[in-house]
Amino acid sequence: MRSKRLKKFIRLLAPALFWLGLWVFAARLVGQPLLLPGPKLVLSTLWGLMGTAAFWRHAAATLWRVVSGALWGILAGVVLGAATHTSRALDVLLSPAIRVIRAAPVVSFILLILLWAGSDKVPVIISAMMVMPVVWENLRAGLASPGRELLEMARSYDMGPLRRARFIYLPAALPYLKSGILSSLGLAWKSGVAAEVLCTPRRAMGTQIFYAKLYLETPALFSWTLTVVVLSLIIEGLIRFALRKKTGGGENEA
Amino acid sequence: MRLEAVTFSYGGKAVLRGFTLDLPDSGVTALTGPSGCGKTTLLRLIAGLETPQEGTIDAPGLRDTAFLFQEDRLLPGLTAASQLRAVLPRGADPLPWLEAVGLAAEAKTAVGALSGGMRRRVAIARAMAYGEGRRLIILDEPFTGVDAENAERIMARLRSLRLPILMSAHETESLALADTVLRLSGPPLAMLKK
Repeated sequence: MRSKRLKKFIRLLAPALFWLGLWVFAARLVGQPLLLPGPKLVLSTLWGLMGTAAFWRHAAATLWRVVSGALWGILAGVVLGAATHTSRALDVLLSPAIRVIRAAPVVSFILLILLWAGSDKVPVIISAMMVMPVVWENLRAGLASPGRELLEMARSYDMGPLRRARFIYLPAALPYLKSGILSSLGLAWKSGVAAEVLCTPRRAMGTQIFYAKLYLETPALFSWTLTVVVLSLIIEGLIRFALRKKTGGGENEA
Repeated sequence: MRLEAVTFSYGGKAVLRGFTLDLPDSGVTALTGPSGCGKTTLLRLIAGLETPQEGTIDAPGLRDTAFLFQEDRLLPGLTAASQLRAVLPRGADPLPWLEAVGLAAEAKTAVGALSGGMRRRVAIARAMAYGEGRRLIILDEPFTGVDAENAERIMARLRSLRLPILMSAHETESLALADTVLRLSGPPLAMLKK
């Protein structure tokens, strides 16, 4: 048991130490903190930033935008997924548009939406737009997964639409939905922060990344990026935990 | 129940060609014959899951028939009790039906964690629960993977519903549970003897 834990610990720690070592080595090789600051400098910059109230305000504002954008995206993906699965007409009408949103460059959308909405709202809309197609696609795959035999069983046992939804479609769709939500969260962060960089809202980590790049404060750029990554991992972990409890790993009681 | 001059082809192959059969309106009737002779197709036609290309079928119809499929067709990821809740009237207790198949203790177990024989019994319990108050029960190879003792107990509970029961079977044990055994050959399906 103890050796198992030790092995797990080593498995987690070894890659981290490897990459950290590589970073230290590369930073020393380059020898210019302006181009590549080492981990020590980045951490001390981050520590300094964390001591200011502004850091937390920027972090909270970005967190709020990305999380609310992701939630709107999930909601839209679920509604559209259910709608395009149940209605052929809506499928024909909406599916090509959703595919266009998924394929189009995110920068184009950021700049376009900036013309219509305030810089505060653009990251929320962009995060939602990046999350929605992934959730939509996954939900559709989940809803299409019950086979012909199961649907024939439902017909022979006279199961109405509500019962089919509860006992067939919901259990079939949940694992797909879970996977869609988890894989889209990274997109929400990437696109949300990218939108902040381009739109520079007053309070935003993206804006700080933009200024850090503008004034060549590379250690600050690394620090803000590290903050984004850590926050993203925390949110993903929380959602993964919540979803695991909700779906019970696929074998849920109903 | 009666089938008259029924013709049914599947994938270009005639499974039934002008087939006529009278079936008892009570008791347990077993259909037996070699694999692929058309027993399942016949049961599906009687249930109303398939429509004949020619001929007539006088049977209660799909809404008044409880049909146990040859495959379990259980709802993945759900518990044994939920399999029954899915077909029982709202608020009805699934436990007595699971008790009837000897699976009361497994009510809250996800079906994926049950053995093949247990899953078959859950499927039977579901058909039985749905069948109460209907006019016909059709069982396609019901006791595959079910031990003789459980099969006997389940059949006794099925009989207590006082509905005509039509089943297909291979095993001698299952045939021994029936009042009438119809021996078939095919395809195209033909009656050998009663």
